[in-house]
Amino acid sequence: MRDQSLFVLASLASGERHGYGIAQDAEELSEGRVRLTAGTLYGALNRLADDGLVAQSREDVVDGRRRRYYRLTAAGETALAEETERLRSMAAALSARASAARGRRTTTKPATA
Amino acid sequence: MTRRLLAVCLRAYPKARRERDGAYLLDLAHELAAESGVRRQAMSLVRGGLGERLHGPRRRGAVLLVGGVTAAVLAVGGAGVARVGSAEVEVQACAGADCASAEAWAADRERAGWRCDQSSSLSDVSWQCTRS
Repeated sequence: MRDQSLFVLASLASGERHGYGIAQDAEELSEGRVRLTAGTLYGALNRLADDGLVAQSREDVVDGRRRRYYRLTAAGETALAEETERLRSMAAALSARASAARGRRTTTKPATA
Repeated sequence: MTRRLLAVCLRAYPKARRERDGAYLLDLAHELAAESGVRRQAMSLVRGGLGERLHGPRRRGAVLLVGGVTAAVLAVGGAGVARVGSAEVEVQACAGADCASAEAWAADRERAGWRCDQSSSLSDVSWQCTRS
């Protein structure tokens, strides 16, 4: 799953949001690493909706702007949990390897005169 | 001006998509452009639209654009320019009295071997010209 899609799911985990709200929340949640544009967000939401992970909940007009709200589906909640667990496992494995490399470097450090 | 430019870039999407979601997508792009800049949003619309044409069920017009998914947009006024692979796509939009020059621009492109399609809405007219 792409980062953008993952952050869209994570954003919707706290409740329904409209597109602009998702973009703002994803940027905040990712500490600025994920900045969704209209084209990217629209494509991601369509793909996630096609996969049954999100669903459109309603539309309204605020200050003359059409806003479309989305919510996470049960399948979306499962996908988010699974993807989060996959990333957690991967991070743990990489962290263990990085710690081992640091340990080797410490034990093989040549003695100084 | 911002809204018109985004509307021009929106034409990169297939017509069916534009008719279904165009107004919503334009509002979303316009809202995001206030924070991240119109150029970034315009590029995303062109890239997203061309991506849909390339991967959608109807590929008419998209064949010329095969070769990559990276589109660059240089936008000045009501004009947009995109390059995908070896193909070029230029778009001109106009309203009212401005249309004479845009029409002449499209005629020049066709004489030079470009293929130009004209489309009209209530508020503007645009030409999309493609050269492979």
